[in-house]
Amino acid sequence: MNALELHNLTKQYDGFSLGPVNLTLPSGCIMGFIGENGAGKSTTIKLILNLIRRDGGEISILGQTLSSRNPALKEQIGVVMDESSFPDNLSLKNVDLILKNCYQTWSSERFFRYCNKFDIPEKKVIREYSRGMKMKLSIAVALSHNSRLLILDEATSGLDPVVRDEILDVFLEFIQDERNSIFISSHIISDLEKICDYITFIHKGQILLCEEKDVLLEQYAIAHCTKEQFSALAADAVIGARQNTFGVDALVLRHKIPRDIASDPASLEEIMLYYVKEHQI
Amino acid sequence: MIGLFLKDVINLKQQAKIFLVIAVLFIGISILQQDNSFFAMYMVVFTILVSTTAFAYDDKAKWDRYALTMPVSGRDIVLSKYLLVFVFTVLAFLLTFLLAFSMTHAFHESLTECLTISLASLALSSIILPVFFKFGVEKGRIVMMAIVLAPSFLSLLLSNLNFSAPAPAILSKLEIVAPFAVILILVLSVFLSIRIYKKKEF
Repeated sequence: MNALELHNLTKQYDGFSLGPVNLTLPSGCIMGFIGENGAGKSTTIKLILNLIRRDGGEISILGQTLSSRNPALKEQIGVVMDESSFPDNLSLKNVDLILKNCYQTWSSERFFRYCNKFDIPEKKVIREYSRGMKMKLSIAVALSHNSRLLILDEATSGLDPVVRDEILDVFLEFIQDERNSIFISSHIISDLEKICDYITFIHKGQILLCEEKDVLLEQYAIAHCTKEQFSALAADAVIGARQNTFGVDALVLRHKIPRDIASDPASLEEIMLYYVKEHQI
Repeated sequence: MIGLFLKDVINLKQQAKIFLVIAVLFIGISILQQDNSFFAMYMVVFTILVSTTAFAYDDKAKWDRYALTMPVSGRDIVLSKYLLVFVFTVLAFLLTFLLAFSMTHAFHESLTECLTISLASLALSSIILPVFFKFGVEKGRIVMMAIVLAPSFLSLLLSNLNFSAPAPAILSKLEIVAPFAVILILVLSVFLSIRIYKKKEF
């Protein structure tokens, strides 16, 4: 079963149009959703969560449709927004008490275990939390009910590298259970490179890539060539290029370039940057 | 919905302490002056402040867009706010009634007076809540001020126009009709808020 399927999802705003977005996240996998600020990541996530109305298309979560008539499905979705969503005056105990009365599958034991693990202070109220603590609280909450799909919107941005690493480990642990899946948006691509199985790349509301990470990394390379070599390359081999004093660096399809051209593996970050450059021309 | 209601009550706990201190102050003034209208006014303001504060905290934390991803519906979120206002109105009613009764020992009079105030307060909340759901608390506050000030302007206007007070017979009929009118306004307000909320995007 697929954890998440989007078919021809569209949303129209003044000056911005999203889609059609198509993507499939199989169960047991992590999909990274990358793109610049304003590319449409948050809009897509809000559409998935039914926080805004779609103009067209289909959304299927764990094989079901999200609606207020389907509270059981919401139990299985753990959501982490880009900001902590809990009001200022609450303590951990308060959060536990409130959410116990919101989620039927809430586990206080699990919640406090994660809070402990994340070093979230028990005595303070949320107002006094740092951004990192708030993020960790949201993640602890998302993991403390019967979540099968985690949906995270910029959950790791604004955190220091140590905390980010800690959280990525928790995600990897979560995904050990094959029924679980994660859909995570971020512009910190190195994080996603570490943990994701699939990468979806969105640019100006359009999906440019939706591919297995390993396939992506294998397919693409950064070629370092002279201007003459570059102009000899087949047009469909080059995704994007950058001129420098020595010649041209180009993101290329690895199997479509001659063997005598020097090339390095392309990182996800490079793939994204070159793609965007290409599409700006 | 219980969870949502708890969230507001717990979150307002600190605020409530300050309200209580002021309440004690007003009770003191009322007893000294042998007039509890101060306190009654304060109670109306108090119930409105409760809902304003609750909305303000929610807005600040962007709580709603998270809450909607939980197994609760927009309807639950709206109803929990009305429950909050209702509970605090009842609390305010009990307090004002106790104070009025202990000062005057006139059961029927105190009851009528306090009920009238509570009903007015409920009617006011019924108008304000849909505004908050529609515009959020920041813009809603301006509309709220207008609504709160409107009756005084109206009475000023009416007295300037030499509008005579209605006859006692009409007033006594009003006394019977008013509770039903307020309940009607409240019910309409709930439905309106739910409609507004369902159309909202986050």
